[in-house]
Amino acid sequence: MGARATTVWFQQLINGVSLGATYSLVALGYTLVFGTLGIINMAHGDIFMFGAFFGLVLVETGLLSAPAMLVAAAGGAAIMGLLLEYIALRPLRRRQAGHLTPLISTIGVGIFLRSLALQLFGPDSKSFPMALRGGSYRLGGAVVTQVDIVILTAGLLLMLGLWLLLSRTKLGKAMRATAENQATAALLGVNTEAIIAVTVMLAAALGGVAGALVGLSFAVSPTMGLPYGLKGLSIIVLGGMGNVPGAMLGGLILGFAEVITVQLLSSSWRDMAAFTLLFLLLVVKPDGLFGRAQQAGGRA
Amino acid sequence: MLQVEDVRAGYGAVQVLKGIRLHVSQGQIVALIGANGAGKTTTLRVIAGQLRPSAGRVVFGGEDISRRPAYARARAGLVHVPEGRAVLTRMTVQENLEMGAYARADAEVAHDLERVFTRFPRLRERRRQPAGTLSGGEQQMLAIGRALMARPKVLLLDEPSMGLAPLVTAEIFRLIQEINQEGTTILLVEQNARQALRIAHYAYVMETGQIALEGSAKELLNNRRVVDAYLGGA
Amino acid sequence: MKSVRVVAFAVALVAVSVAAAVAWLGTEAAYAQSAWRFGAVLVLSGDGAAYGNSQREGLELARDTINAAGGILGMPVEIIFEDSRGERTEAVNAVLKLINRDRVLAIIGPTYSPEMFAAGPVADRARTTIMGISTTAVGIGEIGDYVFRNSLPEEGVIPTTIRVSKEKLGYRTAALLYSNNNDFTKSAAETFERELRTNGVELVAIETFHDGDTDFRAQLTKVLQANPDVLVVSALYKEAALLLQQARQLGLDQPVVGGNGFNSPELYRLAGEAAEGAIVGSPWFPGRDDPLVQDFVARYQERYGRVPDQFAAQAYDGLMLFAEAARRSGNPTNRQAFRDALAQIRNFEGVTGVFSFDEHGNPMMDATILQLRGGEYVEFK
Ligand SMILES: Nc1ncnc2c1ncn2[C@@H]1O[C@H](COP(=O)(O)OP(=O)(O)O)[C@@H](O)[C@H]1O
Ligand SMILES: [Mg+2]
Repeated sequence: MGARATTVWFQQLINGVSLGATYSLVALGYTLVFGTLGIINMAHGDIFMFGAFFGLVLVETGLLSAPAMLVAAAGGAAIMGLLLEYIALRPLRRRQAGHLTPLISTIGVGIFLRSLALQLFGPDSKSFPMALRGGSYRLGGAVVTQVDIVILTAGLLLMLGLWLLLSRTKLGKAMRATAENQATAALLGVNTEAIIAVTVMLAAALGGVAGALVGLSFAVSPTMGLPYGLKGLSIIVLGGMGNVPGAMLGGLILGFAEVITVQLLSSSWRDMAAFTLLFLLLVVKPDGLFGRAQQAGGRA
Repeated sequence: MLQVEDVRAGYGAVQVLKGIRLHVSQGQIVALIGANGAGKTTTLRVIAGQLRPSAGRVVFGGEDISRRPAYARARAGLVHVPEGRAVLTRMTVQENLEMGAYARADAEVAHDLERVFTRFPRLRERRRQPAGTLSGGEQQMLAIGRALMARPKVLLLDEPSMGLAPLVTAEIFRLIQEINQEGTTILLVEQNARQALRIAHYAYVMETGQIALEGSAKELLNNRRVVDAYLGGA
Repeated sequence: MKSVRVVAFAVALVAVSVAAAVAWLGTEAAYAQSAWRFGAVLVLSGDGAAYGNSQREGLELARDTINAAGGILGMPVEIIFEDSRGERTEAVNAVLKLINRDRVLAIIGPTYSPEMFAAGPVADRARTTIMGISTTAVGIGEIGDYVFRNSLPEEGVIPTTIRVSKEKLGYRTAALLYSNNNDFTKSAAETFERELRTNGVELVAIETFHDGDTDFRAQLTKVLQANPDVLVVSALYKEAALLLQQARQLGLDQPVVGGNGFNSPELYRLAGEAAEGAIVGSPWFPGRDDPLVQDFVARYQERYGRVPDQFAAQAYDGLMLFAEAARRSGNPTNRQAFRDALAQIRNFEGVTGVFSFDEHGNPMMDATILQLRGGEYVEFK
């Protein structure tokens, strides 16, 4: 006697939300950097991975607190973001190196970070202590884990926070102005280089938190950033390059698409169906869900 | 208030400015006129810090600001409204105005916003619209309004009338005069030389990267050469 | 004119060296008659050195055990070790040297399957027996009449796993979950599927994922709906661990039967309680309740200070098989008689199990079925 169909669908809904929320978090970091700098930060997946390790290292000192763990992940990743900006992005920008060179330099940074993690932590998967991960709850026949709830809460808070930051605060407006047109922003008194550094740090911090949450939910390893990085990239294409709500919604759509494919078709179609959906959406809306066609007065 | 001393500048190997001297006294409107391609925009870019001069210096309020980045000059009160207006198209009208006051930390920003809305009722109507949806004239109003939000000491205006209907152009010139009368020093670049000279106190005429002529706006309005070359010989 | 002289000189040089070599080889062959001389081609340096060294230890322990009991037919066993460094060309060179210079009776190794695919045909052409002790790729025995192996591949373990677990658990329906972008887990899944059907088990769900995936809940929810009697999982330990945790969380509390990934101690470290009770087949189990096994483990442990791994155990059995063939053939220089004796071995009792060769020289033996209990593997009975 199997589970009832409604319960199964309810469980798949929960599965989709939980999966999609992590995808969204990963995508936000990409989209922030793309929006401000017009480049794809190929090291994002690896900063994501390091975020998980920062959290794990803190927890292994004996501090069993999820919020503290997330703060460590965000802080450590933010510092990595700052280093990325100073080492791999700013020098190229100074030389007006175009958009392809930083893409390649961030790939280099990503490979470096992965090797570094391999050296520091070894190739094996590690998991967070059970005490931190907690148990699970039953909800109308379906199962929700405590980690799911943490992911969803943290994800919603971060997205809300990011939205408030970008729409309500001076810093956020400066970030958006810098994203749209650095020259104009500078004429308004915005120290665009500093704003870019802050943006890259913020993106890295979001990536770090996403990594720690995924690590908490599953496992931590030096290669954990690769599949999530790939998903994050496709989501920002889906959501509209550089678009924040697009990244949030895009992540959820991809999460649901995967879950629904498994349920209705077959699990071997999981990735293919998700990417077919992406392709179809792009045929209908070439600039992504929330994409704008390139406007006059856009990025310089 | 603002001096440009022997500035040479260009783009790559192309020398555009071949030794420019300008002097903008406090409280005045100074016009910079000249044919298309003479180097007026390049001059403003050097003053605003968007382009590094190869020689010479820019002095603002008695201080050499030649090495300061653009954003620091804006914060010091030297506010540039570039050619083509450069509003932030994806941000709303109100956000554009708020960004004008980015460098300010005083409590009167809201008050100034109110004043800009009073001055430009069209902007108040469209305050929640993305700036990219405004008409050319409205965008120019927004660009000027945004500059005012910074409470500039010196306002650099690059062809504010470009591409606007005659009626709107007249309104813009009236506005510039009004802003000046309220105490803001203005360096005005215009191809519309006659109207510029009518509201300016002093003026420079640029030809191929050099100052060809200067004098009080009244003098230049009556100068034969200027009339023939820039005022359509009327 | 000049070139003719050069050629003549070269021919003379070759002739002289061939004559010298023949003379030298003659003395070698005469010497070899007083001992059972075998060669071993192992990865003794580089990345895989740990495997090769375990194998060397297993072989040395077997050699010393045989010699301490008086050797075979009164003659001692010798092993000449060669390091292949895991490289095919090195393996081929080592095999050529062992056959032509050292005049060995037969060869053990090489360590890796690709090395065997290169070196096996060389030994086969020289009509010299070569037996892999860790090569599990499909088609090793089929290389030639003189090529054997005693290492049970995963495909050889699975039939026992399914037969034994079905016998004990009595399941009728199963869900098969496997990683389909990994040759090992995929081919093992095909074997699982075949064996389940052969044993009359209905597959009510087949779900796939990829190596590197972390979230299996969509697949598991579907399995939940199909409600099988048993979960069969073919995955590397990392994915297997996450999958087990998520399965238990979702309320799938059926017994779990796993592929080779479940043989890693990492599985329990990562999955913890979720791996409790998991069943897996293994070609080697040091804890087996069998005097032969316990004697080997004790002597190995005494000599090397640790429990013998699969590589050491299969190497030990490998030399013991060679000794049996030697005893039956009776002549330390007759390679053909040795080969024929080895091929006829049936029901040989080794530390890894009861062993026979099939017609190609591949092993036929039962795996040991294990169960994870409190973090330890115990025999599943
Ligand atoms: N970005 C640029 N790169 C190269 N040359 C430029 C650039 N901008 C302007 N110029 C050249 O510099 C000269 C002066 O241009 P500009 O200062 O824009 O003149 P004006 O504003 O008086 O019309 C022109 O010959 C123009 O072609
Ligand atoms: Mg111009």
